[in-house]
Amino acid sequence: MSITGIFNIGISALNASQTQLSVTSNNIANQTTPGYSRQEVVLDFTTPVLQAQGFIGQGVSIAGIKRQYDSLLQNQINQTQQDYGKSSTLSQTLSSIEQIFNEAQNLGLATPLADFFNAWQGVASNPQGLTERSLVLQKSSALINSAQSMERGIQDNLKYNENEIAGLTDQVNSLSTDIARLNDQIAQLEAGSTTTTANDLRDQRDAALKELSGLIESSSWENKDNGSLTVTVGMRNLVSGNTTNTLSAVYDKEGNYNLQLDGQDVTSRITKGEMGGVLTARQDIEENLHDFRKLVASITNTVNLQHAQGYDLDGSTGNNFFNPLGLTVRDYSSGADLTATITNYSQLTLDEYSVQFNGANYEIYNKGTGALKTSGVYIPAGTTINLEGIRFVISGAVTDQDSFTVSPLTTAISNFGTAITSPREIAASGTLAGLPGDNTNALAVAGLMNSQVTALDSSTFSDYYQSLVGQTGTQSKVASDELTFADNFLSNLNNRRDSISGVNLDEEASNLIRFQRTYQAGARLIQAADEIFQTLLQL
Amino acid sequence: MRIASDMIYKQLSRSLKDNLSKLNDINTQLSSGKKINMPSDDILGTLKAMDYKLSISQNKQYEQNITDSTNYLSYVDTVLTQTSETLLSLTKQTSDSSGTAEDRAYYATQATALRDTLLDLSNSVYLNSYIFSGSQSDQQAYVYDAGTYQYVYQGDDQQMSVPIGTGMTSMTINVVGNSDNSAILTPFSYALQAAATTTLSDGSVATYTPVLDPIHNSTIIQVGITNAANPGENDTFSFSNVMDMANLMSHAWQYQDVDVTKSLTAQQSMNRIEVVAGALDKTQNQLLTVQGQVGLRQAQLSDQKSKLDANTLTQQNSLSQTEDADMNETIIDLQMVATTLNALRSAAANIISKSLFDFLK
Repeated sequence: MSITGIFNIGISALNASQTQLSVTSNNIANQTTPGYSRQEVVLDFTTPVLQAQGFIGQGVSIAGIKRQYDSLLQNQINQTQQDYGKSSTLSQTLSSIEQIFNEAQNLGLATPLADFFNAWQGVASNPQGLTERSLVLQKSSALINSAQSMERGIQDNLKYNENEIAGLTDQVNSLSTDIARLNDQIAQLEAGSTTTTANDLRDQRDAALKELSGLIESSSWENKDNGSLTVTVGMRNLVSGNTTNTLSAVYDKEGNYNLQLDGQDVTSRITKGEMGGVLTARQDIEENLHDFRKLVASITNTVNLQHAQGYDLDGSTGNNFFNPLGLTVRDYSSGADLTATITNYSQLTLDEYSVQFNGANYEIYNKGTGALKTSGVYIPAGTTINLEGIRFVISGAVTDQDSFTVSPLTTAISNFGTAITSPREIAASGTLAGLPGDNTNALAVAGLMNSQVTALDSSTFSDYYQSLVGQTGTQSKVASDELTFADNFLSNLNNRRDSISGVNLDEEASNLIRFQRTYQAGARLIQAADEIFQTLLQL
Repeated sequence: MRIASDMIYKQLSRSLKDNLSKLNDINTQLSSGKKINMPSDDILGTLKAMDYKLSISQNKQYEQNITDSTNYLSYVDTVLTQTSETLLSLTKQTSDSSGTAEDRAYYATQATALRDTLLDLSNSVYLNSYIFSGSQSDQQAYVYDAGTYQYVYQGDDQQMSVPIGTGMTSMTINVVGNSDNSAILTPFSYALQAAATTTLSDGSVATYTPVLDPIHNSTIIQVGITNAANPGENDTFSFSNVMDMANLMSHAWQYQDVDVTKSLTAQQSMNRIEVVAGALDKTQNQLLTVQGQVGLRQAQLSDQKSKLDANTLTQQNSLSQTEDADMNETIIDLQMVATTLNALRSAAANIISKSLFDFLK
């Protein structure tokens, strides 16, 4: 045992305390940094030396700097972050749809709908009265305005939702670039060492991954060889090592964004994260819009059919009350042509159709249920099909990929308007031309309010509308319940993470004093050794 | 459990957020007075409330229909009372069959005046509509045809019904002037189903036959009077409504036929007046029945209105129970949340400012 040995032990003590002090100060400094994991210096004693008296320790050595971290917990957080991202977006969007149908505050269609049919009863009580007739026109324009402003509201939400997809895509790409860069740096820093980890960079990467998980459904695993992280979205690589694939939003035929990654369409595989929320919201809103249009279309058609049976004050008959429904054809073919016209309004089922081709045959499907309605041999010179009150005329060369959709609903609300302009044109009379005191047709129209409509699954207008209100309310309620659950769960997980990885100032303060004292003691050690040396030299 | 300093802050801000959001909910309930402010607050409640509101709105419309119909019926009732009084004055004349020439001239003038009154009454207008014309309400119910010397009904017997209750329970409201359908009672004519005969006071036999008037395409009553003893006193004439009757009388008092060109004997005239008197009686009876029907309708409407009122009240109560906030409960909730929030704030003030650093010198 030499005196210099004491010096060396003192120096190792100083080194260790200094490192502990810097790690402690770093902990204090990063106390509020999101994603930061508390670090701790791992000390080890140095191999003792065998002296004549026995083994004597050689001081302290620094085994490494360890971050307090639970990777299983971090994974759970990332998963829950995906649920949270989805439900928070979904709940926000669906709640604004719910607001459009907010019958709790008398917004929506219930009041104008009831008023419209009540006004027809007014005409029935005094069929010749121009005041009562004008009221029907006023109430119908109130109904039309409500329906149209509600549709605009829904469409605005759809448009906003669609823009979200583009915005989220950019954010995902920017985060994936970050992760790839961090992958590269971590691999370089940790190269060749099995013990040293790039703690702060890993914290950064974890934070980026957590943010990404909130944005989009993804999964990830770490490469054991170089510590780099592979991230996949929809079973395609988003990040692999230091390279990324760009997620891109591409318009499909119907003008909606689809997501493509690595040359594949991954839209249907993304069900979580904010992106999953946006995509689910799009589906829900489109379903609501479809149902709402169907309601308005059936009001238009049912009232028109009844109105056309009556006679107005000038004896004219066969007239529509509302603008008649029109068909919208979408052409997904290269060279074929389809025209569709409504030939019999009373046969309309208000379904949407998809026209497809299979070899030499055409096939017409109900777009909603997917049921095959009719099929036959396709003649390119011109094929005419009559189905449920609609005449389809198709011509031109087709391939199996070609298709058309035909919908009586697309313009049902945008074209919603009264076909008649003067109160005299209201067909209140039901028997013979020019009977102003006859109210039978007005009674029949008023009675439509309580009649069951086949196109609406045999429910009345108000029942169907109620179920639509219930549907939007339930969607919003489910999303907000899911949000509450995900939020509580996430907060619980974050608590557990903080319990392991978070910085406690009291702890750091006591450490600070502890390490300061160790440092002072180490210094005293050196002083003592020095004094021993002095004593020795003065002999 | 190890507690990191950040956990305390996060927990605190979370609790504050939760409590503030509760406070906001209660505040919304207090300011709107409703516990359901969005369908998702209570979906079933919202749908129920929609049902109640729809029923209330429909009930209001039915009540409006009832008010309109009641007003209409009281007008019809007034007209019918006046008609009845006019018929009575006309019938009074017939009791005096031995009047002097002056009396008869006076009666003739009075009958003409009463005839015109009846015509006015039958052409009564309510809200721009001729009330006794059936569905031809833009046309006068009766007009005088100078070609045939007849009063001709221009309306039809269309029954106008008005919905007065859920499930489109409806009620016939209008009264028509004339109808070939015996089930529809009319105030200005009486329906003769089959030929009938009566013996008049001078022993002649009067035969009543319903015939179709080809010119006006309506059923009229043809009367033939046969005097077996004196065929010179035989007579035929026709009428279909009270104006025709009054017109026949007014001319008969002057010993004339309705077209003035043919004069009648005194006996023929008295026979005509006797026949018309009988017809007036029958019409009067029928008129009273119609008036009774109108009264019955009014009573039914008023009944129905009370029912609707009661129903609306029930629905309004249910609606209020479904969607209105209980103020006492809400205010107690508010105080509880406010207390919690205050406690949280003062606790926070103690916790967040302290760490070991504060105690180190």
